[in-house]
Amino acid sequence: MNSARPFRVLVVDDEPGMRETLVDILEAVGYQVSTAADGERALDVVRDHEFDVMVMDVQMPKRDGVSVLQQLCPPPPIVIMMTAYALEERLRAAVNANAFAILHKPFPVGRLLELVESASAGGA
Amino acid sequence: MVVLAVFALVSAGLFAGAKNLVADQEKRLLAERTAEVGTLLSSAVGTSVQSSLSSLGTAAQSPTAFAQVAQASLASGSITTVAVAAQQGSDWVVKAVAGKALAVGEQLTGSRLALVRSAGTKLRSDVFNVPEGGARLAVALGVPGPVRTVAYEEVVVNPSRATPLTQSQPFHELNVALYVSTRADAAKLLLSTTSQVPLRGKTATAAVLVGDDSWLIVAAAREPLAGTLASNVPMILALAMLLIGLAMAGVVESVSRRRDYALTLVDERTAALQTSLGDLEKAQNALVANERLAALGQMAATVGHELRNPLGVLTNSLYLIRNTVSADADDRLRRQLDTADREISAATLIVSDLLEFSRPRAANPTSVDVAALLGEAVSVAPPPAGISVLHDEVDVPQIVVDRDQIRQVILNLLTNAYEAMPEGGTVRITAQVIDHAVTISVLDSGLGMDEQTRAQVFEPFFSSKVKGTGLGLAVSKRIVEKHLGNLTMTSQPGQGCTAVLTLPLTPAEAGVTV
Repeated sequence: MNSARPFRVLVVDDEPGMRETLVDILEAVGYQVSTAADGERALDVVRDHEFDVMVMDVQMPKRDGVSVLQQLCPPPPIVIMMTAYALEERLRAAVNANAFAILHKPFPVGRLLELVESASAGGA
Repeated sequence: MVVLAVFALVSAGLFAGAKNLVADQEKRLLAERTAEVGTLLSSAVGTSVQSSLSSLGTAAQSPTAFAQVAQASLASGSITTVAVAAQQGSDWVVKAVAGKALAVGEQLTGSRLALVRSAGTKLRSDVFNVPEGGARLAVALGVPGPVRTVAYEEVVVNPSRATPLTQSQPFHELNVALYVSTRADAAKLLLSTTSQVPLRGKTATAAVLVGDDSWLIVAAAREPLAGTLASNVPMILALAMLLIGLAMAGVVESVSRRRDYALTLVDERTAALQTSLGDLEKAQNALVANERLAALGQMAATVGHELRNPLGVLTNSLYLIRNTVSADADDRLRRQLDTADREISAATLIVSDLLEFSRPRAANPTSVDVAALLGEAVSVAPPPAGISVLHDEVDVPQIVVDRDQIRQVILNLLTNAYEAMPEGGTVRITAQVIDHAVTISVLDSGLGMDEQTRAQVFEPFFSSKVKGTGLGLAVSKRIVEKHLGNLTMTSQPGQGCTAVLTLPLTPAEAGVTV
């Protein structure tokens, strides 16, 4: 972890419970965490702020995670996608092309932390 | 068959009727022909014999003239004796004679005498046997004069020898027997065209007038007088009718068969149609059932997916609680947290198995550390109280698999092992490389199972447990086989179970790409 500046994580999920728990979990580790409740807001937030890692749900209202993933310009270094659904071939291909990893809900918290940790190590 | 019987009856009737007609015609023709023969013979025989005897009687006055006439008569060959006799008192004496038998001055006797006595101005005739032997036709005619004189001739007859008629002769179509008598007296038979006398079959008779006598002619047809065709008409008619009857019966039979065939065809088609309708109904029912199943599957998928979000939040919350209390948590709280983790894991597994069964997900392979994956599985499904888990990994490299799917398989094996040991025990997990494949074994020290149960554990909806969907092992086997791996189960009752999962070591062998 880089101590000079906080490692910034954006959590994007329309489920408040998921957002809140993920914020708690990631902040407990020491990351600076922001949230967005849907895809449109996520794009707004990303336009104004820089993030090291995005943890984003696929199924969201207004704009889904895969669409956001493709609209990000420039893309942040690391995007970890989460999904509660089996992805269609088309979405899976897009996710595989642009995302760092994909987590099927419910996933072990340790697994998420492992991925973010390896991203922060690689991004450092 | 009725048709044939009717035609047989009709043809029998026709046959009888026609036969009667033809027989009548035949009878009439025979009578006509016989009468003709009689008339012909009457004139021919009567006239010629009478004139012959007249000239003989006239010639009797002069021996020279008699000799001439007699010689001429004998020359014909069949006349054997020519004589002139005169009455002397009650006797008749030969006055002149030529040919065989009799001599001048000889008194006539027997049949000759009787014939001569009866002779008058009209010719008399008779057939009799003579003392010299053989039969003779004798004719006698009175000669006018002062003394009663009679001209007399004898002709050899051989009635037993048939006088055949040739085809060219008149009346060749008849068999004729001529009797010098008014009746068919065999002793008076003069001649016959056949040796079969008296004539058999249908005969006709006619009188032949020869002088004062009436001869009898009996005739029978040698061949049908009305012609062969006419005589065969009844048979031809009957046969024709029978043939028509057969043809009609054939037609009727054919039509009836066609009708039967058509009816059978209609029955068959109707049955086929009903079967088709039945099939259609079944198919429709199956379709409806399938649609219901599909709707149920859709429902299960939706519910399953929707459950995954709250399960995810619960997992995160539990993690946070465990972190918050870990410092000063007592064993009881820790145990409760383990139970919560295990139950969330069980719920997640049920959802995953259900989704994987109803809508298998394509594998999303990544490089996976086997030891970490096994550790994670045990952490999300910690063992219940009384059960200990032993890890034993030996130099296992990374493998390229769908991480979540293989974790699902391991969780299935692990929770099965837990449930096989209600009284507690040990689960031993080993991982090693054998023959270019990673082999993961999960052993339990539980109840084990018999061969019959073991043979069914991979079938969907089969469960030896009181609870459970019966999908875990079926789905697990499917996932493993999708990774070109293998999943087996061995067990002995009372000696626990061993589940062995093998996965190919290299991505190429896995048939998937990273």
